Amino acid sequence: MYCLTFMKMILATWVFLLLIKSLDAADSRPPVPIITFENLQREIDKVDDTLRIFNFWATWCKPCVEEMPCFLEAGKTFEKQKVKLILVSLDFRKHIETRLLPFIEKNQISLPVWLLDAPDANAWIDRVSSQWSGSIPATLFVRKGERHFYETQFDCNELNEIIHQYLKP
Amino acid sequence: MKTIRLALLFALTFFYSVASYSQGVKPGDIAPSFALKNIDGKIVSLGDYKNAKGVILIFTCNHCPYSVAYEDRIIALDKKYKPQGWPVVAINPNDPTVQPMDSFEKMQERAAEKGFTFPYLFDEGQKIFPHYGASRTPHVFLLQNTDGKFIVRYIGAIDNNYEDESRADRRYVEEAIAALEAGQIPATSLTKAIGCSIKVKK
Repeated sequence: MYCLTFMKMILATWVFLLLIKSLDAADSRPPVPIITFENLQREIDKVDDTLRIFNFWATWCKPCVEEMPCFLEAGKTFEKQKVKLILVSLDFRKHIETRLLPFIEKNQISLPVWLLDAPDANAWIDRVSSQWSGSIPATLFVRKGERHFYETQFDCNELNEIIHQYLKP
Repeated sequence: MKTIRLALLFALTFFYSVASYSQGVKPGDIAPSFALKNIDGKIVSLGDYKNAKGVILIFTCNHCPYSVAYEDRIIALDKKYKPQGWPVVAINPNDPTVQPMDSFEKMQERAAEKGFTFPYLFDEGQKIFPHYGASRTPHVFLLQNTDGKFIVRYIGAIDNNYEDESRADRRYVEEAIAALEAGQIPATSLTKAIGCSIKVKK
């Protein structure tokens, strides 16, 4: 009887340790959630006074990488305001370990990065914006149900001014 | 100056779609003609294909991972459809001063490496792609030869899975050719896809 309780305790401790260890491992590198378009749409469709900014990019996209520092800077500038920046990566799923995670680490990207795993792009591009031809970089701004879309590479001043503009009540 | 640029950017947002479509072609339009240098140094023009049923015109390039992901599929399209009268013609629309991987010499190298079976033309001076309204690579324009005139019948992606061909369940270009061969207009004549923007000097 005692023996069984003891065994149970050992087992419980072991499971607990294993759990801690796996959490540790997950923490050691930046997590990149792999999302479907429906996941993304749920975030886009939120109607409140937070300005949500979705920047569609990829590590292989030169103009995207060039404008990335502007988004990182904006993340800091608007830290205390109701602004949520999300970097939606269109990198290939097979390149997460080899390209995306090293890029995030190297450039110290502190903003959330989501990998959009939705290769049937014709099914969802129009649902982001009917104006979007499909090239990147592209950025969607959403606040209180109002959407503004840009298929362009920003410079930092433009981006800041646009964010100021859309934050006005 | 800053304000002007910003105002312009705002204006662009609203008029982008109108502008980009009015500049380019849409299904049913006559395809703009071209005469461009192929990787073998010879000039290739649309008129060279007057005996073909049509042309699978693809704006593509070396550097773009989406283009690279589709290279084998483009070769396969040419191998399958050239004997049936629908050859592939590829055009690189990028400015090599912006993207050095897309220079004429690199095009020759890549074509040799991959064994391209079709012409790979260089849009020198970037004069042709705006007439088509190509906005990204790869971007397909399927042209049907109708009494010597080439009519645009399909614009968009090759299929609906850039990452894994085996998981694609729509093969848009093949479907469009099948429809045209059956004397019909393709049911899907326009699709969108993620791609690399065409590289133009600012």
